Amino acid sequence: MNVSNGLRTALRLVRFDLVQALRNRGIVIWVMVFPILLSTVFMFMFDGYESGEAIAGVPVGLVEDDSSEARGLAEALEGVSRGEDALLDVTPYADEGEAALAADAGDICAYVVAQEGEDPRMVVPARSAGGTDQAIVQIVLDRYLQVSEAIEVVAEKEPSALASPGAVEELAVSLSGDDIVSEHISVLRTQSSEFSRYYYAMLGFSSLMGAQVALLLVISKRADGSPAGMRRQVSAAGPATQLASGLVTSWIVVFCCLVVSLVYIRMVAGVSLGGREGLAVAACAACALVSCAIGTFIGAIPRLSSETKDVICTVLTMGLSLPAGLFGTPSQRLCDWLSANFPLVQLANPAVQVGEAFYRLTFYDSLAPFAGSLATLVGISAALFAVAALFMRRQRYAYL
Amino acid sequence: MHIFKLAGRVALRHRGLLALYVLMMAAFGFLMASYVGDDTSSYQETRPTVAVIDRDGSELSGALADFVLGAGTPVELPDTAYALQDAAAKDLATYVLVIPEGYGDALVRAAREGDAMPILERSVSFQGAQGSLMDEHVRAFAQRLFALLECTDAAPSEVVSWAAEAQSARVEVGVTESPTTGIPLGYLVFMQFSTYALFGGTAVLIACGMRSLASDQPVHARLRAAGIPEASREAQQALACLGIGAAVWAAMGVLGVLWCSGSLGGSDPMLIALAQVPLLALACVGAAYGYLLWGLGAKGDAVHAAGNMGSMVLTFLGGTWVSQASMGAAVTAVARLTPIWWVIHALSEVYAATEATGELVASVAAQTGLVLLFAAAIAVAGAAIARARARA
Repeated sequence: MNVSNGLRTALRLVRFDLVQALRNRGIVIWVMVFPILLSTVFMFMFDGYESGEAIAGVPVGLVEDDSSEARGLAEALEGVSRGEDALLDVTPYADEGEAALAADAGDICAYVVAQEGEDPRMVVPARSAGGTDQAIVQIVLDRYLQVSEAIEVVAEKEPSALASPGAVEELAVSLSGDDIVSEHISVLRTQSSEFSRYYYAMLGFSSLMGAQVALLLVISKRADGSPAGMRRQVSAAGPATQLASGLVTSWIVVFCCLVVSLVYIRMVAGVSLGGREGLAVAACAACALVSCAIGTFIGAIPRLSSETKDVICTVLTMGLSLPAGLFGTPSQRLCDWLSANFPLVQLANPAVQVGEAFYRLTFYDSLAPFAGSLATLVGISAALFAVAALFMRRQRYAYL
Repeated sequence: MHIFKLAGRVALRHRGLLALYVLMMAAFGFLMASYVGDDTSSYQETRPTVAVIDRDGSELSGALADFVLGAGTPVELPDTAYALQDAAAKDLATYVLVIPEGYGDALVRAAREGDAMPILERSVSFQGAQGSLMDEHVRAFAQRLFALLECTDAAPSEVVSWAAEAQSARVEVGVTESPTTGIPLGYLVFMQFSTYALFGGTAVLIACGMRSLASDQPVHARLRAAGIPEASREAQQALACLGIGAAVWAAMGVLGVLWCSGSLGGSDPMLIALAQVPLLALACVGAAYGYLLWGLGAKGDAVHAAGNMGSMVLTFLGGTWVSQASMGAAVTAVARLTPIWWVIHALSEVYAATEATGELVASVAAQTGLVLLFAAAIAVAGAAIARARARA
């Protein structure tokens, strides 16, 4: 009978907390609407933009003086700029000044100067030196020079190989040939995309924003949080029961919101989860747990106003999402750099671990890395709950 | 101007919000700017991260492996399925070359006996273009090995040595002699990051900071009873919003110049000043949006949510986080209807310029004008709502 009453009381508390959380417009917008809105923005932004392997039509300028040396190079460049999938798109220029203007204006990625008595030169614009397109042009030019160099090396080391008529031409043709075959092997469970990272980082951001639910409920139950919290502390239901109810409620709210976001990005945005949708829901459960832990931790910090705690929660959310790669290419590069050089920093970042969990689930055959991410999230949650409990124990006697 | 001063003072007293939306956002921008670095006037070859799994162990495969590791930034990778997946999924190694067992012997037989060409395997991460670049490199070197084997009787060890010798012939690369007095890339990134604070931060600061002056608050009732004409009171409140926007803009500008002062040394001050103009216009849009939220009576979490969400969506659409050039035509068409798109576009033009020409100034002024139109439209809506609510 007592157990039944206790359960009924707990369910009633959870119901009240649910109403309290869902009546808060800010929370509804942040945790429910925001991920869907941002996913929609991502979906439209990245639609039709896939970074394929094929490189074609690299724009390059050519300045030549019609000498035989220049013609040889010009023909080599024209050779790779013919056809539908031509590697280069060569534009001739009358002089270097004109080509330099075009390069600085971004019309061409580089220009090549081929003149009698000079080795060919490649010139790139000063403001954007060092791109992939320029490297492609460099490879073509290097290869042209290396064919001549290889023939000279053979002539020096094994002259007999070039003694027969037509041997030099035969070697040149073979050196410039395209006999080598390399095949692309697919090692991932599903095709990876640089844009998947945005969706996974967004889930990490949403998980952290969900901490506001736990923060709201914890503050509303703390004696130092609000007048309602003071009254609640002396009510029939004990503080521990009320806190547990708040945590269960916040977990339910965040979990449901994350699942809705997940369904949206899977079904509407078409982001792959590698056919492991069920496990992805389990990941949402762990993400919701860490979200509750962060909210509880911030809510338990003593001697801070509710407004300051809100600010801390937002700062943490934004600050931890930055190295998770949500804010564009620079932050993704920062994320990669931190992962390579300071893996422990990334390991302790819940936003990163949420993204990692979905990444590992989607792309890896083994579930061990995914389990590792979930264990990390549970570990972070346990640590934050433990510290929050310490804060609350200390406060209890000081404030009541 | 009593209400103007009061409103500005009350709003700017919210130190937590200032720390969050001005200092923290500026710090994020600075972090990104430092990480991106600045333009270099010298050419540095693209070197993708590479790894080799050599299952052959022959002299020829060793030469290929050495070549790949020398041409890219080498990464250690064990020969396991997990390691390959890790490398491809997270771009730990953009290009992984797998040399199958028996490749060296098969290449010799293909060159000298006409047998079938053996196949190299490659795994490329989502950085497909860099993977293709590396593959071009590898196939060119392997083709040289093949050609030397085909056309000479040399032993594989000699062929390897000759191929490496020929590799030393490389094209000379120079850079154009354009004057590089434009703004540095790091500062551009900082300014792009600042759009978040100038729009969302300003809006939240106004809507939350001036909350105590809203129409449903007792202070508002006292101000109405103070005998100040309604038009004057409303105009002062709107001016206070503009003042707060200008203060956020000035703070971001000063922090940006101070933090990026090292890289701004050789830049044209006119270009730096010109870049601030569209940013000031954006701060006006943020102020107008904050005025609208304030007029609507939004408070607490709802203001933070509306400010941050609006900022996040508009900065993504505007090209703060993802380059405008990579957006599709449909997205660009929608993005052009947002103020941050024009601000980022104007900043890109200033970045691309090496001096403040009349044409550049006219273009930036036109785009700033467009941004100010957004501010005016939102402010008018905010004023109408604020007035309607005050009279209700």
